[in-house]
Amino acid sequence: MRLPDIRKPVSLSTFDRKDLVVPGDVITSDTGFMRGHGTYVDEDKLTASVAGEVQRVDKLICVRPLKTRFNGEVGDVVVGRITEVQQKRWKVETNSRLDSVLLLSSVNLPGGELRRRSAEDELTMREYLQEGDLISAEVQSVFADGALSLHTRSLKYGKLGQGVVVQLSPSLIKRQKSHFHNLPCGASIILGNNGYVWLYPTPENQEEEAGGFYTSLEPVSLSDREVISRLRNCLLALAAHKVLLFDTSVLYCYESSLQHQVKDILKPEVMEEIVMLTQQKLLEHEA
Amino acid sequence: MGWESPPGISAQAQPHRSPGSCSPRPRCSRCRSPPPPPRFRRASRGRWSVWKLQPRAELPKTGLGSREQLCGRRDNKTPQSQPGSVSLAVCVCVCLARLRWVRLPAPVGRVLAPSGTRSIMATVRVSEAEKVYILHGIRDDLRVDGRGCEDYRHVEIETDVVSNTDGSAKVTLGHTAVLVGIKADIGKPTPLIPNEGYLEFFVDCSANATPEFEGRGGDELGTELSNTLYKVFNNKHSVDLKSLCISAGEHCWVLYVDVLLLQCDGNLYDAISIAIKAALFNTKIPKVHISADEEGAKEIELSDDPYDCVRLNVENVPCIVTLCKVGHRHVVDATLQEKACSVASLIISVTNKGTVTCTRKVGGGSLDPESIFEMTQAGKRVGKALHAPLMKLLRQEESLGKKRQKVGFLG
Repeated sequence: MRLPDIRKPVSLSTFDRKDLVVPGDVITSDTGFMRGHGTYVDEDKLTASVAGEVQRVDKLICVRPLKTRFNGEVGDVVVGRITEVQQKRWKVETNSRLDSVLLLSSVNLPGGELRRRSAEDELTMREYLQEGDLISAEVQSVFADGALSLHTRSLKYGKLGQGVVVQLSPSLIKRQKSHFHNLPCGASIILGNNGYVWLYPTPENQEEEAGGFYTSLEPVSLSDREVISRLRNCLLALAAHKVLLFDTSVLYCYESSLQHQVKDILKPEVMEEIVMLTQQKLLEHEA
Repeated sequence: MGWESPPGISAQAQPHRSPGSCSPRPRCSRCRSPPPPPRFRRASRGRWSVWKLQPRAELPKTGLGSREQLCGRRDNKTPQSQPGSVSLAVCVCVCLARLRWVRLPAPVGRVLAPSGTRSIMATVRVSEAEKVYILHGIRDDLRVDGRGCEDYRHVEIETDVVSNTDGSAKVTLGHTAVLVGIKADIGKPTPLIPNEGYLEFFVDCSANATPEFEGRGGDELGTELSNTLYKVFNNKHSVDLKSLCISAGEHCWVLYVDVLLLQCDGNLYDAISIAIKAALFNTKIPKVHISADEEGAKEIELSDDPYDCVRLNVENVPCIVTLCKVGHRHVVDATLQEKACSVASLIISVTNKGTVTCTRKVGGGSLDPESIFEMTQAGKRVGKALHAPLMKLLRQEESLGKKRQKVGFLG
């Protein structure tokens, strides 16, 4: 128990960032630019309508908001939760404005069987995935209204078993070649582009878990559990201080947190200290 | 504290907060002046505000206004009986009625019947595998966020956050955030307990906390919370209600406790009870001076000096500990995910001496007597340990006074 403190951002380079804007900030008064997402024109000046980072592509200026719903693009890796089982499709909650769709025809059948989906498959849909289940998937296409169509037609996607989901802002996830990582600290992580991060114990034999609907309900060992809890708290600490999340930053944060107990990581002063150390390590890494 | 209207305006009848709790007064027959205001407000700064009260003879005769009136009615109805026996009968009647109102603290509190089978709370979806993970974690005494089974999340408390209340506190517990404001008002004591003031509770489930509360969605939860709070806090063993009495049977302080849920992340009861205790500690009730003139008309004078006030003794105010039964163990301060895995939880209010004053079971599942006993023991232990740091913090905050930079809602 304590009194609240006014906390200043610990980021090392926030103050010299010119590309961070808040609503109402004038981005440019030059009329030669085009108005993109997150901006509006006020008295011939291009003004930000959301808080975030300014991005420029040739003549087009956009503001990428810091806190936002997920705007999916084809190829994005997402972690989502099944909300509804419908005819030939599942509805999936993926932190976007509309629920995403996972069609029965875009999942792998158990055992990797390749055939047309029959009426029996439709009736057994709830045996594969039921309401509340978590899945990892990839965005297959985007509908005209912005809703996403997902697919799990790869062995790395599918139903998720035991583990912890952490819900963060999608803008904090760094786009990378791979969003699946087996971290050397003993756990694995899926950094969904939609801001949902899945932490799970690294499976022992990589082949078995592949894309199946089988989930192991064997108890997870205490050491794995501790690593996962530590990673979870590290992710929350990094997100609280708006540090971009990717495998290196998570790992550095994990290493910096080792001197503290897992439950102490979420204390504001410990969080500050850990994030500061992580940022220093990241800067050294870049140099 | 800009809440004054000019005395001329305050003489008009103000709409009362809860209709029905204050009967309309008749016009004064002698002076034909408008009746005195039903609510007492302070006049402008630096002056004493004075209102004339009607002499007792002109109080409305209907209703059981005070003990004398009660006796009078009895006298009229039973003209044969002796006055002494009537007053005895009335006393017994009052005592019996009081037993219904006052809840005595017992070493092991009684379990109140659950109000519904379904626990209404902001809920989250959890998959079967996640549930297994959470359950095994609790079995091994390592929860998802690294806590043990009897650990609280990070608690932050700030008092005096709303300037137009008499006492307020904001508590954040993990991501649960609660704001409590207490407003003291002059009201009429309950006829059965004429020499005590009382507390009233209202819980507002704001749609800011979760979209589920939009429209009337939060009403059910709000009523359940306020009923429980009323049972826990509104008794003379928790708060010194006698100190809220101004003149027996006529006027007393009523503390309106308004709770606003700002964010829900599980364990609302504990967060609210901590906030109420902090807000009661922070409450400053202006001193009252009563004088009677030669005709028997009473005048109530409220001190306008903000430092000339009465503080409440919060030593015995209990804190609520919620224990969730998850698997074969129970956890304190459950998050929404853990709550989704539990079948039933036990709400226990514990004082600083470790006395259990009230217990209540919520949730659809059942608890066997053995686990209720275990949970009560754990609740007593945890609850007792909660009070000392809370009081220390409140005193520390008060000793800092104006030196402390207020954080409020932007911290």
